[in-house]
Amino acid sequence: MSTIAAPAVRPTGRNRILAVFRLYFANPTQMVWQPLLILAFIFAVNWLIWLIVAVSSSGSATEGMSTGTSWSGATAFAFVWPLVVATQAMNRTFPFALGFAATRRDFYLGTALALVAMCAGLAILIGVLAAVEDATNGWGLGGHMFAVTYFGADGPFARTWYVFLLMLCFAFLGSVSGALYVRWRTWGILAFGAALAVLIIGTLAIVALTNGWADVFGFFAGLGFAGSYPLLLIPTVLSGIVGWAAIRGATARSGS
Amino acid sequence: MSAVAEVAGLTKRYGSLKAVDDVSFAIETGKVTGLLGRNGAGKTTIMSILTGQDFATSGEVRVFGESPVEHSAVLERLCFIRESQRYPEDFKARHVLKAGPWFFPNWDADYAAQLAEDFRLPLDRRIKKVSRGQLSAIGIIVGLASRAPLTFFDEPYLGLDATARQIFYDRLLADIAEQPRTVVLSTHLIDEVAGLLEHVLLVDQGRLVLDEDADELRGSAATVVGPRAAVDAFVAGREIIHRDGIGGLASVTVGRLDPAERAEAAAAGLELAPVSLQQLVVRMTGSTEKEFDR
Repeated sequence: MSTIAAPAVRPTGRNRILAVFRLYFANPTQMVWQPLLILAFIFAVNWLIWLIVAVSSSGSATEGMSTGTSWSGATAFAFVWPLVVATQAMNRTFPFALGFAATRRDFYLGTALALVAMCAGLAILIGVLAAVEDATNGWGLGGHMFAVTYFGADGPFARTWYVFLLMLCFAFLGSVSGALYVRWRTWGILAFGAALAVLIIGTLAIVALTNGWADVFGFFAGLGFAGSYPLLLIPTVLSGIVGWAAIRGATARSGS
Repeated sequence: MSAVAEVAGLTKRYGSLKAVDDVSFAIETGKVTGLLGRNGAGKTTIMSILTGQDFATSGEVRVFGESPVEHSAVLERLCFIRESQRYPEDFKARHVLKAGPWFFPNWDADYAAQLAEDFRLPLDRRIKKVSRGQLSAIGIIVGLASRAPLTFFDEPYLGLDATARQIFYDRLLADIAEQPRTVVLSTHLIDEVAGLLEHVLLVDQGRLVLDEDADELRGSAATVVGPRAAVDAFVAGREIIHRDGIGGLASVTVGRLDPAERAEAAAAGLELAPVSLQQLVVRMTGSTEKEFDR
């Protein structure tokens, strides 16, 4: 290896992590417009249903609706969306980023950054809408879609933070499944699903067999929403680490 | 001679399959190298490893003097859009061109736009929906507009019509004359690119079977044409690569002829024709010409 005219190769300092980040917003349809449209549509449908209930029933029924809709799962899609985006990022954007001469590290950090940004954006939006919902007494009809019971009553900022944590957890579960697929194809996903099932059922079994439900409830009750939601960072970070371990050895081989 | 990339003892295994088998070569700076071979010969695997997109099982790979794996400083001087390149979900061609300058320091946006027009690339159609030829055009445009010091074109002709093939040929020649760089062209449509190639690497079943200067290679054989009897007399005792004939005429391809032999052929009233790169390659990889014509 003597004939190489070794020009000292120096990076141009171009930030490729940022470049990968921008890749996700090059076409904002999926990252921005589609979730907003779906959210708007679901809200419109919900609002119409509240309206129907309101005009066709008495005051006490409206009261009941306020309690009932506080258990609404209407925003559930907003949590699944980042999961889907993250899975596709690994499966489709990864080989593209390699083709555009990014390193796996640049790709992974840029993607993680984009997911955090997307979740933060959606969480803030839901947080603001929840605050409006509270202030307008359920959009004037006593309905709930954003200020729901799952995120407690610790105020608008805390609620936004909880929404963000849950969303981010979904996003990284999506990215780790996508990364395992890209690295080991179907076997990767199967192994991940099996490990997750064993972990969850094992935990449930241990709690059930030791009659520990009271302790578990006590533990979370002691922590409250403010203490419990940040625990989601554990699976989030673990997913992030496992996803990186998979991607750093993945190749851009074509295929499905 | 200086090399932009060097490979020594490169082997890549997928399970029990040896996709690349103990290959060594150098890619010379500023030249157009053809990476030729049949489908599945290992061309794309070699390029993937040179660009850090895949990992070598064993052997040494140096690009710009360093390993390309996870090495930004090396990678940002490369461009390799594979024939089966995958694009982000919902991407349109215009998103690909928009992202170009974020990744390639020398990206020329005006040139990319001009090329898109030349190839009549529908910028607003989702990449999932574009034709095979348009997909190839996207790869070509990125490869040319990236102006990367080392650019790989992976089967650039796939699905392109004759006009588009000519556009690629012309633009590539014009552009490397203006902005000299190293180009590696992988293809099985050899005659189409033969005029571009300055150096030839031929792989077959994972092994490198030829590493030679293109002009040298073209001179390594000749076709003798003339009356059957005269041709037969002339080629007697020579290595015969190919034989053809109609009626009393014969056309026989033989190995290299020196000036004296050429004079002898002329004296015998025989015509000498050059042999196409494709014919030579076909012979060396033991395949019928049909497979290359696809």
